[in-house]
Order: sequence, then structure tokens, then C-alpha cells
Amino acid sequence: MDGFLASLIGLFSPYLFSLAVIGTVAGVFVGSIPGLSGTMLISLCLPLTFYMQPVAAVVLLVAIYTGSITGGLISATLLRTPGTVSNVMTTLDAFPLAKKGQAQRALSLGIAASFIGSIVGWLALALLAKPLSELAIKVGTSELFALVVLAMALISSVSSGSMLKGLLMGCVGILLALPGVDPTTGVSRLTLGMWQLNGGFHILPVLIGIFAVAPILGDILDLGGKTPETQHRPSRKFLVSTGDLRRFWPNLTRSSILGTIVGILPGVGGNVASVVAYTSARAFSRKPEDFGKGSEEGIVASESANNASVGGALIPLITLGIPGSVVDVLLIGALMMHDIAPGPMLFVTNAPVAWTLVTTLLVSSVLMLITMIYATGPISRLISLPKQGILPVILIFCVIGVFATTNRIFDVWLMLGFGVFGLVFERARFPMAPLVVGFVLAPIAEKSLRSGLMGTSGNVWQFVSEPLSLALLAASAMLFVWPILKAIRSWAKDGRGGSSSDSPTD
Amino acid sequence: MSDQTARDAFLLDILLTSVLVVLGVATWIVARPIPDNAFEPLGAGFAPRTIGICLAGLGVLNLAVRFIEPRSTEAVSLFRQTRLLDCVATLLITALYVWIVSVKLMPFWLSTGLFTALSMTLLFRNVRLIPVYAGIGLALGFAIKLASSTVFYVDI
Repeated sequence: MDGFLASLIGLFSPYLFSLAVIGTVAGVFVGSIPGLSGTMLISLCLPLTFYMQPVAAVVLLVAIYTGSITGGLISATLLRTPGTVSNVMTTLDAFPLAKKGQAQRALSLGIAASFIGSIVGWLALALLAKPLSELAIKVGTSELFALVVLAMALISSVSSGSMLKGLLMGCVGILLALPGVDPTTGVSRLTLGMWQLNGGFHILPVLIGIFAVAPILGDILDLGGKTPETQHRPSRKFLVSTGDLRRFWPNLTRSSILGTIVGILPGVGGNVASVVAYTSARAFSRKPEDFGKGSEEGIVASESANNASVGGALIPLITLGIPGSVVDVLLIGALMMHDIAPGPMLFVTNAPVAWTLVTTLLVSSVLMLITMIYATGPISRLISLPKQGILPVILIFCVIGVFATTNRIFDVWLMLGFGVFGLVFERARFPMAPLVVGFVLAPIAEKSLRSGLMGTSGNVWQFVSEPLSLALLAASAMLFVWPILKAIRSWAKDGRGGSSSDSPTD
Repeated sequence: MSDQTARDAFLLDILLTSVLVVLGVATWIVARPIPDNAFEPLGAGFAPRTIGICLAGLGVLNLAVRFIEPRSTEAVSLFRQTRLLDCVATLLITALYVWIVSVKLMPFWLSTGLFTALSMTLLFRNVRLIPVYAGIGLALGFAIKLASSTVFYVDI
């Protein structure tokens, strides 16, 4: 509690508070522009955080994260184009409601639901992070290895596209983490004779290449036609009453809890959370036929869940060092640049950083509410800015950001290379999330496996003899086997004259 | 999806998966074999070789699935995008910019102005506004240079 209060008070220092305000406003703004995303902005800010204290870096990045998830609501409502993937489900009902002349009502409901979802996610984070960390310290190397395997299996199976492609990208991510000097034996491996690879791939060119350069190139490919213009001009009226909150209370609670739980799952973010909450809201609704035609319940479910997932996603990051979402991979990257390892020891070795993650989410949620109420009008005028003018500027920041941080032009070339790689593979529907999760988690998995085996002179039996690691490995195996069994059953059905569109890999 | 686009998408899928299979096999060959070490049973080559095998195996599986069910591919055609040339040109301009910055061929603000003018003209397809684009780039270049030298103490 002392750590929490100290962090909260510290957050109100002029420097940190202004970073929180800048981060939230920038996040809302970028999140509201279709094609740009919070992930892209966070990637671009990573080099900037290299020059900051770790606490300040965390404040800026978490504030952007919170702001961007909500910002997408504006374009989802006014342009029928979700600002971020987390707002796809919101678009289904917010835009039809806006078309009926109730844009302000749709935005107000979304803002209120986003705030409540954020607070529920934050509550889960604040209540669970410390106790779970204390529990996680007792986790041994075999359990940690099994946990990382489960995380990677989960991210591969739930990422967009086919599971096989997810697994392939996960392997590529692990492979990218392997070049360099082996930490256990000191042997140089997979460097191809290039001294620049002795330290392995720097995290910055990989992340900026995949999350910033690739989307920019993708946006250029998709350029064309006129930028849609909004016909609605939001005001500062906040059209949500306490009666509304009472009416939506069960939906808000259910969706926020679902969002938090989905957020806790490794690698799964707000997009999956909003789909799960939206589907369940429709199942529980008295008017399921209204969903997709301007249902207020749909907006509430989607927005509360995607915001709740932010708090949920930070729980595995703090307690186990495993990213709860793709944005968390970037947070891990920022901490790694400061030689801070997220995980169970974070509360012991870097308590201020751990508490700042918790308190910033609370403060930025309040800031997000204020920003959304007062700045939606001005932001809605800017979301139609031509992308042709924004994309080259972002490219400049990508180049300078990587060069200024690593001071090696080699890394800038790498960044461009990863940008092209990300573009081509994403167009072929190979998901990128497993790649970055694999890249970040591979060193932890390898270290756990090898130190575990060194302790038992190479006896792999310990990985299945511990009940927890056995359960985690069994769950991972199920995640691999279940889709295959499902596909075989579907094929068998097809053979008997049935029809199915299931692919063995999907 | 038209037949031609579907065929392109299928070919892209096959091509990229084949690249991954080759990458997996190459990793398996290049990585060192497991040394006989009592204290470190796996050795530095264990992880690369294992991942190499997994990558190649999964790639072959994906290829098999795509050939059994060609229509199941979810890829989109990359080669028939109308803006593909713009994308490649932007990439080349960026590469030129990186090279100029790396060899310090001209002052940073000037190279940034040049890059912005070229890329914005290409994307907007409006030659008359080149001075405006160059002005934006020069201002941005000055601002970055100033910030890098006074705040971050980095020599660009």
C-alpha cells in the first residue's frame, strides 16, 4: 500500500503528470485516426524513452496505451472505420446509431463504458499484481518454461488467421532471438560471421520495423480514393445519465470482467476481448435483433471490454514477465532497454516501476475520460487529415529513432528489412503477434530449459514430474491437438456427405 | 475474389512458406551440433537446431495443406495492388535517405527536406506543391536536429 501511495503521489509531480497528459491525449488522437494505431505510436516513442528514467518511460507508454484504445471509438462512430482493431465491434453499432442522428449519444455511451471498463481492469491489476508476483517467485525453472510454452501456444492458436501460420511465425520469432553469443556457454551462434550480430538483433529495429514501418508501407498500398469526411460534429454534451448506468449495469460488469480475463491471457488483446464481450452481450440481451443496427448494449459491451483488457494484460506482464497483449511486448522492450526484467522480481528489485504501471493506468483512465469529453470535437475535425502527409513524417521518426538509440546504421537497415518482411508476410495473412511474442519470450524459455536441465544433468523428466508444469504442458499440447482433431472430424463428416468450411489449420 | 487474384494469393502463400522451410533447413545445417558436455547437456546449438526442424516441419505441413485445399488460403494478392509502385518507390527513397544520413552527404535538415519533398510529391501526386512539402521537411529537419543536439545529445 505504501508503494502504491508513494507512486500515486509521485505521479502528480509536474514532469510525470505532464507526460501522462501528453501520452493520453496523443494516444486518443492517434487511436482515432484510421490506419495509425497506439502500437505504432508506442513503437515510435520507444527510442524517446531510452533517454528517460524507467518510471517516466512507463508513465508515457501506459498513458498512450490507455488513450489509443479509447480514441478508436471516435472514428468508429463518425467514419464507420475503427481507429484500432479493438474498436471493430464498436463500429457495428456506433455508426448506425450516429446515422440515426445520435452520434453524441453513441460517443457518450462509449466513453462512459470505456472508463468503467478501464477502472475494472485497473482494480484487477491493483488487487492481483502484488499477491500473484509473490506467488510467482516460488515458480521453478520447469514451471516457467512450461508457462512460456503455454503462452506461445495460446498466442499462436488465437491470433488471426490459421494456427499453422501462427506457429510458423512463432518459430521465426524464436529464431530471431537466437543469434549472438550464447549466454550459457559463451559460444557465438547464427551470426553468419557478422560482428553486428554478436549481441543479437536489437529489440528496437525488430519492433519498429514490424509495428511502424510495415503498417506505413501497407497504408501506402491501400492509399486511394477520398478520405471519408464526417458529417457529425460532436459537442461537449455528455449524454449518459445515472439511469443509463443502472440499465447497463449487468452488461457493463459482465463485459468488463470478460475483458479483464481475456486481457490476462498471453498475447490476446482488446480486439478478442471486445468480440467475446459483444457476443455474450447479444446472447444475454432481450433485443438481440438490434445488434448491428445501432444497439446501445453492443457499444457498451465492446468498449468496456477492450478497455478492461488493458489492466488485465498488465497482470501477466508484472507477475510473470509474459506479455498479455502485443502492446505489452513493446512495454517489455522499453523496460529491457533500461535493463529491467519484468516478472515476479519486479516488485522486489524495481518496486517504483511496478507500482507506476499500476497507478498510471488509474490516472490515465481519468485523463482519458476528461480528454474524450472535452477534446472529441477538435479531434473529430483532425481525423480526416490526409495520410499522404502523415506517413513520410512517421518514416522520418522511425529512421531517426532507431539511429539515435542504437547509433548504428546497420540497425536502420534492419528496421527497413523487417518493415518489408512484416508487410509481405502480413499480406499473406501470416500473423505478426506470435513472431514478436516468440522473439521476446524465447530467451526466457531457453534460459529456463537449459538451467533446469543443468540442475538435473540433462534429465527431462523433471519437466513432466512437477504437477504444475505437467498441467501447463498438457494444456499447451491440447491447444495444438484440438484444432487438428476438430478438422479431422469435420473432414470425416464431409466424407459422409456433410459440408464444412473448416480448414485443418484454421 | 477473382480467379486470378486467388491464384496470386495462393502463389504468395506457397512462396513465403517455401522461404520459411528453406530458412528452417538452413538453420538446422548452420547451427552447431550438440556438444557432449556434462555440465551443459544441451549446448548452444540445441535451440537453433530444434527451431530449425520445427520451422521446416511446420512449413512442409502448411504447404501440404495449401496444396490439398488451395482455396483455404487467406492471403491477398500483393502484386496487383495499384499503389505497389508507390510503395516500392517510397521504400527506395527511404533507403536513399538512410544512406545520405549515414555517410553525411549533406546536412541533416537538407536531407530531411529532400526526403519529405520527394515522398510527399509521390504520395500526393501533386508536383505544384513541392515547395510546401520541402518546407515542411526542412522545418522538421531543423526541429529534430535541434532536439537531438540540445535534449538528447545525439549527433545526427
